[in-house]
Amino acid sequence: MRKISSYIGLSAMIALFVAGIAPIAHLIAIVSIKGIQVISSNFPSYLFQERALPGSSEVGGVGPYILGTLVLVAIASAMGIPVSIFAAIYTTQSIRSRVGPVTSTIVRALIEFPTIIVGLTVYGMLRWLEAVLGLLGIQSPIPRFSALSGAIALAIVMLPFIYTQTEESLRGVPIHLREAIYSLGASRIAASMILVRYVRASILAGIGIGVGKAMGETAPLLFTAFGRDIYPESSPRMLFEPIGSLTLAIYNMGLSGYSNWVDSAWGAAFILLAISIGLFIAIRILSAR
Amino acid sequence: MQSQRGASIEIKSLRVWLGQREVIRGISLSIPSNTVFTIMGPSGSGKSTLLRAINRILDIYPESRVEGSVYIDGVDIYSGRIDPSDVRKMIGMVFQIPNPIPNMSIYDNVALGPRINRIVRDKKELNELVKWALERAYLWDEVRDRLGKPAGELSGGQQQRLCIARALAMRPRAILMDEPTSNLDPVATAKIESLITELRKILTVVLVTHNPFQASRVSDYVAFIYDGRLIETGSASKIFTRPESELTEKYVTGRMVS
Repeated sequence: MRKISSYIGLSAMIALFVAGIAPIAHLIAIVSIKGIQVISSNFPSYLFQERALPGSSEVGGVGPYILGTLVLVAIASAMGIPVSIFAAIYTTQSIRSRVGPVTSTIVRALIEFPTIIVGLTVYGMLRWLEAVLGLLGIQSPIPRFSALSGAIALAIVMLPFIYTQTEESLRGVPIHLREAIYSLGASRIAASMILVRYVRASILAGIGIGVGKAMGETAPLLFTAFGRDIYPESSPRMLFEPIGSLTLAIYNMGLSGYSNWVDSAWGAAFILLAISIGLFIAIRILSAR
Repeated sequence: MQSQRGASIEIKSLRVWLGQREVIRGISLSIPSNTVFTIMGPSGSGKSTLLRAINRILDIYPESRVEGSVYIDGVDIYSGRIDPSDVRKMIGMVFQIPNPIPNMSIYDNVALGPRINRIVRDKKELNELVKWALERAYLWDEVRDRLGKPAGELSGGQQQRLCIARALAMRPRAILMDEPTSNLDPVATAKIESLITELRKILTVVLVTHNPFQASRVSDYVAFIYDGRLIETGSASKIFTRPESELTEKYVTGRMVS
């Protein structure tokens, strides 16, 4: 009897595991098969060229979108990662302050925030900034539709993930280690640096989740980065102009109905997937060190 | 590295709350310099909390509140102008659970305090200080060939001596020890006890223990506390041979259930 129930339990577990993993495996497989097909038959031009005319026999490329995604994620990370980590350090180290718990609640609430609202909020704030500076006769340093505004939106998207992971890992440091560090006369800043070093693997995992999440986002970019299908003219200027991204390209080309663009969208989806998996592996290697 | 004078510590009318609970209920004590002063008492009597008030490590517990004064060489460390981290630089601490930073090397653990407080000028001076601290903690001979190995690889007794070395590397005036041998075997305990008696030559040792036999072996002075109150204090010989309080007598003769 015990054996039978054990078999039933084991079978149920395997069935649930397969049911859970199958859609993800299917998704990865279909994106990989279709994506690799497109990329390999247009390699390497697909990685560098701009997109082809709609309905033409050529697939073209996704060069500007790859560049756009990398630029957006790089700037968003440069803003979002330090802010998230410092905010988490502040809330965990401000032992008697009430600001800490309030900050924690607000940032955690951001996880549930629809990301399109993040984009709209950034758009609204930049419009407001434009209007206020306009009254003073000054041009806003951050145009509404630009790489910078898109990066701000993505930084806000990644913030709660990195913050939560950092905060939880810092709170999880055993009190005896915390006492050890403070007993040596460490200031709060010095103690925080040592604690961050101690939990760095966990923080890196949080960075991986946050950056990965931001990289895969389309909605917050609709009102900010806006999208662009050609390469920018110069590198400093591109920060202040609309910029494309892989996610926006997948969204636009996938829904276009033109078969060459739909094919190109599969290739773009595979590249996005490959970058995400690459990021995941890099984080795992860094964490293990 | 020359020996130095240990700090004298004066605790006056100290009261400590952890949340709503008053853990220390008005204790006054005088701890002479360069002695081993043991705070003894049953579990839950407040001895660890009292110890944590002496270097203001209690400040890292958000629910703690302190009233009264602790004077280190005549300076009240609870006066508003004193930075708690300055107090902790002067008063080292060793804990019940050996707590080296496990992913740091043996060397880096000892060098941690001098590094974060920038008390050495160069690498050579730091090397000398680390060696001195490890020698003082009777650990140098056991680890000299593996200073770069993670501290987590040492045995429990070695880890505790490493923690003593880490505290000593700050060249403190006093060291607080919170039941440092309660997780160690008798051999490791004996090593640490002989180390404690040696340390009084260079600093003041305040030891917390619930073990009256340990207190009698290593102490110059003993304070017996019970339920957050000081019951009796005096020289170790007096407390263990002619205690004034019945409670103290019961405790040192092992007749009190703690």
